[in-house]
This record gives sequence, structure tokens and C-alpha cells, in this order.
Amino acid sequence: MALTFAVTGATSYQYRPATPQENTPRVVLAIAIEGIVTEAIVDTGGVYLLCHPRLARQLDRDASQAVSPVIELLFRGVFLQGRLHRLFLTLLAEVGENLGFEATAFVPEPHEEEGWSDMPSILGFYGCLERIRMAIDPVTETFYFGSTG
Amino acid sequence: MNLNELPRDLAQFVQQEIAQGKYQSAEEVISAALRLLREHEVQSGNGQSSANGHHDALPCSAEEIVAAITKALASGHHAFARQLAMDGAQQYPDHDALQKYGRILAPPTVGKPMPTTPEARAAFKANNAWLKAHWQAYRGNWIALQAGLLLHASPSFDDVVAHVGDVCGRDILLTKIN
Repeated sequence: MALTFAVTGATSYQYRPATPQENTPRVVLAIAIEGIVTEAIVDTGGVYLLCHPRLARQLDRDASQAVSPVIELLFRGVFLQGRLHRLFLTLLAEVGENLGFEATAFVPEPHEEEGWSDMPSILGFYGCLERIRMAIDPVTETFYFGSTG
Repeated sequence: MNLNELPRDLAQFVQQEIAQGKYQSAEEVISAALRLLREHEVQSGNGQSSANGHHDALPCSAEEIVAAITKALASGHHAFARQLAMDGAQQYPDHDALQKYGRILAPPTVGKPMPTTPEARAAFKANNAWLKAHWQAYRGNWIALQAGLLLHASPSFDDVVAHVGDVCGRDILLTKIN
């Protein structure tokens, strides 16, 4: 059975552990968050985009742009304090076109920087990737993506 | 009501509640228990939608909806928070906080293809190739990469940013390699 969908773009991904403590590799994608190119792991069981606190500092988002008040999100067994924002993300293409979309993002409060583990930013499914067509070819380590529009 | 149809422990509990004078009949105990169950289901976001697609006992005022969204987010019921935010934003178009909740918690927008130049694709591909080849050598470092060239690497994020300056919109990949 052939499975087809309209692919907008494709990129190779890194398949490596996300933290020094982990041995299990994860799918790590280079993306742009509000114009800042960085890496994020794909976590289809996660919610929202979890933005690395240090990167969040570069975004220069102030609290007035977020929904208030500060909420707590359970992250790797620890409650993190942060705010929800609407951010523009871009899936970057080595082949084809980039794909841009707005998603809900959890931006940790500045004081969480030290407590953040070594994880990069995380692309959750709910609130983030849920409207992207995507497929993975593990043989070539290629991530395909397309619009649902 | 025939209590024999209930499991023994629940039948004993019902009798105990009546004996203590809290309720007049078994029907009253069961009704109270079902109300609590319904309330729990709504609060946990698992409540059944009614015919009009809304949860029973939804909050009515804008402030109540905001409070319910906050509570849902705090308890990890993200889908329920979104539903409340979307409904609330529609119901109160002039309420600033609900409009903001509605916008931020809305489902992601449909992805829009963005024109990309061959040069940008090549630079991005070169970054990915560099990462595949060198990531192990730079574990524990923040790195700044541009078109496959390493601009700076350091365990300190601030050090890397100080070397490369503002990275926004400059196609400089900034990441921590673990």
C-alpha cells in the first residue's frame, strides 16, 4: 500500500541523545522560532512548543504578550513556571520550501534557567505540530512535512 | 431503591450515611454521589458534551471563564482549556483577556509554505551536515553555526551570544549539543 501526501519540504534530522544523561536517541530538528534558528526535539506525546529558557531570553517577549498568570507545566517530573505565548515557527527545508505556522508556546520564567535540564526546545504535538502533515524515513533520517491547508 | 444491587461496601456506605442522618433515603445518597461525579468529570475535562457541544455546568461570566481556563491549565487539562478559551473569546468579543486566551490557545495555524532560496537551502543543509559530522566532539557546548561554518563554541550560552551578536533573522543556528 502506498501512502502519499503533498510534501512541502524535507530535511535531514539528527538522531542523537538529547541530554548527556540519555542514551536513547531522539529526532532532533533544526527549526526557527520567531526567526532564531535552533534545534528542537520532536515529542509527539508532548504539548505546545517548550522553548529553552535561554533562547526565550533572546526572543525578547514580555509578559504582556502572554496569557497571564504564570502557569506550571510538568516537565520531566518537575513543575516549571512559565507563560503561554503565541510564537511563529518555521520548519526549515533542505529540499522544497520552508513551512511557517503559529503555535502555542510555553516560555519558562527567567528564574527557571538554572533549573532547566540539558534538553533543547521541544516540539510537542498538541498545540504545536498537530496541524502539520509529517512523515519520517528512518533509513535516510529524513523528516518530511506538508501543509494541511 | 434496592441496595442489594450495589456492591456490599457501597450498600453499607449508603446505609451508614442514612443512619448518620445526613440523608433521608438511599436515592438522596446516590443522587449526591452522581452530582459529585458529574462535577469531577467537568473539572477534569472528561465531561460529556451536551447536545449543543458544550460541557454541562460551564462557567458563565467572562471572569469565571478566565478562572476556569487558568484552573484547567494548572491541572494539565490543555484541551479543556482550549475549548473554554475558544468559546469564551467567541462569547465575549470585547473582553481583552479572553481574546488573548482565545488567540494563544487556539489550534496552530495551518502551515504556510514560505519561499526559500537555493542559497538558504544549501546553507541549512551544510549546517545539518556539520552537526552530523561533529556533534560528538562538541558535546556540552553551545554552538553558533552559519552555512556549515562554526562561528563559536562554548559551554556558556552568554559567551556564544557575545561572540556572534544578535542571531535573530541571521540564519545562524544556535543550539546546545548534549
